[in-house]
This record gives sequence, C-alpha cells and structure tokens, in this order.
Amino acid sequence: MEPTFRASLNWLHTWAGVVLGGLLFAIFWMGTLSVFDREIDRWMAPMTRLPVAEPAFSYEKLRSAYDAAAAAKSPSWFATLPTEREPFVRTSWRERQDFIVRLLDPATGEALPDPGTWAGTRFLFPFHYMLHVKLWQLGYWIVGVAAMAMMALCVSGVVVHRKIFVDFFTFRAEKQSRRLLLDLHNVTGVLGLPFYFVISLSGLIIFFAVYFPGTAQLAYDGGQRAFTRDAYGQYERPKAGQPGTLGSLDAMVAEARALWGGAPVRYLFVRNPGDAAAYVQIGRLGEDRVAGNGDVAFFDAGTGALLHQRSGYKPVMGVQQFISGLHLMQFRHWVLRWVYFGLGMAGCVLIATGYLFWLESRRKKHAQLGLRGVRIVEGLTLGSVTGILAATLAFFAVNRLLPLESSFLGQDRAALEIWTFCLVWLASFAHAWLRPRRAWIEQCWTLAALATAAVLLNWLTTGDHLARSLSQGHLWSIAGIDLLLLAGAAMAALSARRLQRRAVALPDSRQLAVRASQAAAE
Amino acid sequence: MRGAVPIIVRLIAAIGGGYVVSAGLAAFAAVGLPMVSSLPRSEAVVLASMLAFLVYLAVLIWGFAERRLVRLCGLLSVTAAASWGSALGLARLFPPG
Repeated sequence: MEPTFRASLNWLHTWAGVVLGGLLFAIFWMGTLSVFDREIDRWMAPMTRLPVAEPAFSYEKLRSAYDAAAAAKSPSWFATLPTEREPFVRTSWRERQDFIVRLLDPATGEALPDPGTWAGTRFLFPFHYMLHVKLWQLGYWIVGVAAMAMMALCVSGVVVHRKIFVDFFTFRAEKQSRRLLLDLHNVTGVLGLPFYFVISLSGLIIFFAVYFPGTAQLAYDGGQRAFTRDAYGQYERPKAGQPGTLGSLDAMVAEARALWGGAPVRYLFVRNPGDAAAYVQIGRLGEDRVAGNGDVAFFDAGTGALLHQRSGYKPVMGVQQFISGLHLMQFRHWVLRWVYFGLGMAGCVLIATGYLFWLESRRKKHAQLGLRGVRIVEGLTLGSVTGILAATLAFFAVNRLLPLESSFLGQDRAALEIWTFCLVWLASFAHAWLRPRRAWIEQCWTLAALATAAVLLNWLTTGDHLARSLSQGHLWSIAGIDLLLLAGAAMAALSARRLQRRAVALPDSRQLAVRASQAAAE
Repeated sequence: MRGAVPIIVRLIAAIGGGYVVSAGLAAFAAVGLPMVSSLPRSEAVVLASMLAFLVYLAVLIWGFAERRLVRLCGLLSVTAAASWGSALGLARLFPPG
C-alpha cells in the first residue's frame, strides 16, 4: 500500500502496535504471571500452604466430594491429585449453575476452608486466554486476533529494522531517551523474537478447534464431538438414567498404575457421577515430557472393570500436543520455568517501549500541530501498562485484607477481589486522563506502595515472613512471590524517582515558551 | 492525505478475507487429504488447522503490502470461493461417516 514493502510493513507495525498494544500487554502480563499460577494460588490461599503430601494416599478420601457431585446430579466430577506445585487435592463439579471447587488436605482427606479467591488458576490464567468474556466465545476470538497481530508484528518488526544484528548489540543507556527506548525495544525484540513468535502461534494452535471449527464440521458427520472422539481415542457411553454405586477408587488407580509400570496418577474424571453407567477416566502424570504422555484408562464406576485404555497420540496430534505443551508448560523444570517468566517479562517491556517510542517520536510534532493523538495514546499506554500492573497488585493486596467469608452488596469474597482489580484498572485510565503530566510518576509510586503492602500484609495475616518462608522448603513458592513483589516495588520506586528528577531537570514546553519570550523581551 | 475508504476496505480484506481464505483452505485440505493419501481423517483436520494459522499470517502480510487494492480483493474472493466451494463440494460428493 505504501511505495515499498518496507514502508508498508512499517505502517502495519506502527498501527497494529498502537491499536492492539494495550490488549497484547494485558495478555502477555497475565500469561507471564500464569507461569507461576500455582505458586500465586498458594500465596493467595494460605490454607493450601501444606507440606508435600506423603505418597501413600488413599483415594477413598475423595468419596465424600464424589457423593456431593452425585447428589447434585452434576454432569461430571473432576479431581486432580497432589503434585510438587500443588500439594493438595482439587475436586470440582457443578451444582445447577454454580461451579463448585473443593480443596482437600491429602493427609487427612478433610476439606480445607473455602479460600474465597480465584487467584492464579481461576482468574489470572483464564484472563490470559479468554479475558473472562464468555459470550459467544468472544474472549477467545479477541485473544486470537491479538495473537495473529503479534505474529504479524514480529514479521513486520524484522522487516522494518534494517540493521537488526547491529541493533542487537547496541544499547546506548546514556543517550537521549528516545534513542534509549528504541534500543530497548530492539534488544528485547531481537532477543525474544523466536519466543514471541512461537508463544503466539502455539497459543493459537492449542485452540485450533475454536478458531477453525469448519474443518472438523465438514470432515465429520457428527461435527466437533465426533472429531474429538476419533482424534483422542475418547471413550464415551450414555447415561443409564438409574442410580449406581462407586466401586473402589484405590483398586482402579492401582490397576491403572500397573498398566503404566507404576507411574503416578494426575487426575480422576467421572462422567455422570451417581449414574449406573458412570465411568471413571484416570490420567497418568505427564510432567516428565513436554507433550504429556496421553496415557488414559477408563473404568466402570460401579464394578471397577477396565473398559478402555489409550496410549500416546497419532503423529500429527502428537505434534499438536507437543506445541501445546511448549506453551502450557506443565512439565517439571524450574530453570525453564524461570526462563519462560523472563521472556514473558521481556515481552511486556517490548510492548511498553514500543508505545513509549511512538509517543516520544511524535510528542513535539503533535504539540506543534495541535493534534490530540499523543494525549490519547499516552492515556491508553498508562492504563494498559502501569494500570494493569496496579490492578494486579491491588488484587494481591486486597486478597490479604479481606477476611474469609466476607461479602459486600451480595458479592462474595472472590468477586470482591475481582471488583477491586477492575475498579483499580478503570481508575488508572481516569487518573491518566485527568493528570497527564504527573500520571507516570504517581502510578509508579502506587505500584511500589501496593507491592510493598502486599508483602507486609502477607506477613501480618499469615506469619510467613521471608526469613520463615525461605527456611522451609514447602514455603519457597511464597518466598518467591514475596521476592518478586519486592523486586517489582524497588523497580517501580527507582523509575518514579528517575522520572521525578527528569521532570525537574526538563521543564515542560509551556514553561520553555514563556522563558523564550521573556528572553526575547529582554 | 489518503481517504479513509481504501484503508477500511483493506482492513476488511486482509483481516476478514484472510480468515475466510485460510479457513476455506483448511477445510478443503481436511476433507481432501484423506482422499488422496493414507492420512487418517482426524490427522488431516489437525494438520490443516495448524497450517492455516501460517497461511493466515502470510495473507495478512501480503494484504498490507500489496499496493493494488483491486488485485488484493479479487484474488482473495477467487481463492475464498474456490476453497470453500471445493471443500463443500467434496464433503457433499463423498459424505463423511
């Protein structure tokens, strides 16, 4: 559309970045936090900070949760078993419209008090891939558009920057801020390029059936359901409509483990609990490989007889599972987990500096021409970058402030936390619009204050201060979150101070104009 | 200053048209591949859908780089009609089980 290929892609890079950058930042930020979703869960739900469970665990302890699901006539019942990152049993089912989650202490089988929070796995992680917009799967589609845009931004970014390898080794921290921003944008961009491209593509590939529903629809008479049955070797049988009993879960798990050479179990899933035709699906723990292992066994719930088993995937599906596994990172590898976190943060810096470079290279010109673009984009940037950070930190802080079982105006505790997140996020946009000159400094100080408050509140309400959490192995996840919060607070405070000094050193353009006219008058 | 209309047409062509074309090619491949090779049907669906994201990306880039808007819209319409037409035609001629 522009005279040259490079100019066209420059146009695409600039506009896609400015229009979708805020959305991309939100997705990257939530995705980066989701790397430590289980650790955040334990930080936000202190009753789950349990020592790692002993291996001799009786599955009969799950029976009361199963009976509750059967009594509620839930279409299914699900239980995940303790792991290193999640040392408790998580059971879930439906009661009419409500999705019930009950956590069990694996040592006693007793239900833990309701944590009253959606924390990492139920709030931050789904926000990352569907923005909690359920209507018509709109959230998935918005995130899909953003992921396609991210890939287009990667390609156009490479084309736009001629001296990509020179830029990679260039970081002029002492030069003027515009040059510094572009250097930072280029360094994070080139360093993480393969990561940003693959993470966007793999995110799309996880939900290929959502984004391209037509393929399965046309290839199978029974549509998506028939495809799923065929592709994953899924066992299914209809409801009998008569009550049934549940046999020995311990015996079923033992038989499943015998099929897999004694390997541990990750989850149990029952279709139509309490029905005579209910069946138990048992999945093998797959944290030793990227793609998981696809080993699943199906048992008759009443008799405990093995109905069906499958192992591994067909080749192309194996590739899809590997690519999904790369993104979801359920394998056990702490070094790689931190690398993912670092690259995710680099992605956040990439998006933020892209915005800042756009602003700095237009600020003067827009002021001269009387255009409002810079003001609007600056408000958008503040709300999308520091705003969502403040909202997340407020979500953490309020989690430690609200007592269990608290409610307000008919909203339960978990909803109050989410309201706090949304209101703080909205307020950050309003603040950015009302106080454009001071907003960066004030929002940075807010971040520092909120992050510090979260750490202090965690200490006051749970007694798990750093000295204690660092000295006990099962509390390292708490120590990790606290240390990240403190590092974030320090960075926010440093940024605020640097911005304040620069604001003093560089008076704004109006003052400059006044001084220039005074000088001319003299 | 260019008018806004060509930009809007291009956005619709590249983003909307690009999606329709990549989904059409994926549907055609998912239905057609098992007929000409030993690839199982479920595998063809997964392969076609995964590759469709890369096809979409290529169309997006081309959609913003192609200078002649008429050529862009024309080629996209022809490919969309051809891919969806043959995918639907194949599915009707050889109904899936």
